[in-house]
Amino acid sequence: MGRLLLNSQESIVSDKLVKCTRFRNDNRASLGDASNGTIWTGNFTKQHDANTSWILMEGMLPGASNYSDQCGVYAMLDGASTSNDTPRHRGIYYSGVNEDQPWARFILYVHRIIDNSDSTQELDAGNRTWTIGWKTRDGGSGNKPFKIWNPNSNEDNRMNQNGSIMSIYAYLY
Amino acid sequence: MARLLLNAPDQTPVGGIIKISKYRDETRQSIGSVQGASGRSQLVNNFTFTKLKDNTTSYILVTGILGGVGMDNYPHIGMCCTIDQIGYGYNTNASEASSHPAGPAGGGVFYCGVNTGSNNEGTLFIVHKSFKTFDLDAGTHRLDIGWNSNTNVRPTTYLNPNNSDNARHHQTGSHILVYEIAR
Repeated sequence: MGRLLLNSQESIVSDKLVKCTRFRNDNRASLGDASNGTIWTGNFTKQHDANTSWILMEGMLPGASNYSDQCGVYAMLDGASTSNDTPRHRGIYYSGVNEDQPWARFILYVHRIIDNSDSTQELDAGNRTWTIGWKTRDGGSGNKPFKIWNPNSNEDNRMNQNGSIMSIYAYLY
Repeated sequence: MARLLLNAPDQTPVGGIIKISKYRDETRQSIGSVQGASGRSQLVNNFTFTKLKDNTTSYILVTGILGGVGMDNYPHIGMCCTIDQIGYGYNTNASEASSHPAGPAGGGVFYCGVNTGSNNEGTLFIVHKSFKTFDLDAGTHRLDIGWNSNTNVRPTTYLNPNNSDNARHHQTGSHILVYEIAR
């Protein structure tokens, strides 16, 4: 009533963006062979609890040189279930050129919705850690999505240094 | 100051988010080779969402990814992403689709991967489309993503692959957000 009296504008109805934390990595790295591994990790602060805000992880990681056709890539916040077929393996995918050559390019894209419909345990307030990595479902060793993360002129002298970005968006329900 | 005293909410900023609808598909499915209208909803089929404001107040932006395995038809096949089935060229009859395969429904979704029928290889779809030029009033709407081709084709063999396709796969999933944004 007070808002109407003051002729202030209508409020945002829902899904208000409360915070976005951005990350960059511009360092070329060779990924190791394993049944599981971490590619990139970072920390952020989540202001609200699981029932108040949800998270969108969105980012893109460039790669070079084909290795495993698939290896169980995941995007997660700490607290996520690490069992087989759990939500951390959804909203993340990669594809590229099926050649073990430095010019064979890959995109690993993350667009994972994390909310309390299936991932409450990832959404506590406080200091949180996010991770991008892989874990094969069958435990098969000697895997990785591609050989080189953030390729540069070492792969092809026409290339500048590539970089990865990650944005962690926190929205109110 | 008065707003703070009255504990009234913040005002809506220009371009602010009004509502987000979440689409998550975590079921492996075989994708058929089809043409024309039959392909238009093969990847996302009739996802319904509610738009809160009228066309003059807000518009829709769609972003997300889908994952598949196998790509036995690798040419451009008229990928479509649209709301309320608007803009599928001049024709709605599949047999006439070749005269205008995509129309304004086309674009906003594209895919890449290995041009092979092998179901080991990943196909990544990226969705990013603004519907600011579409006339979408408040109410219930539908989102559809697929293709519109004049021959029987498919961009991938299985959507949302799992360990049925390869023992190293967990169940994968497609995640898309439908943003309603103030104009």
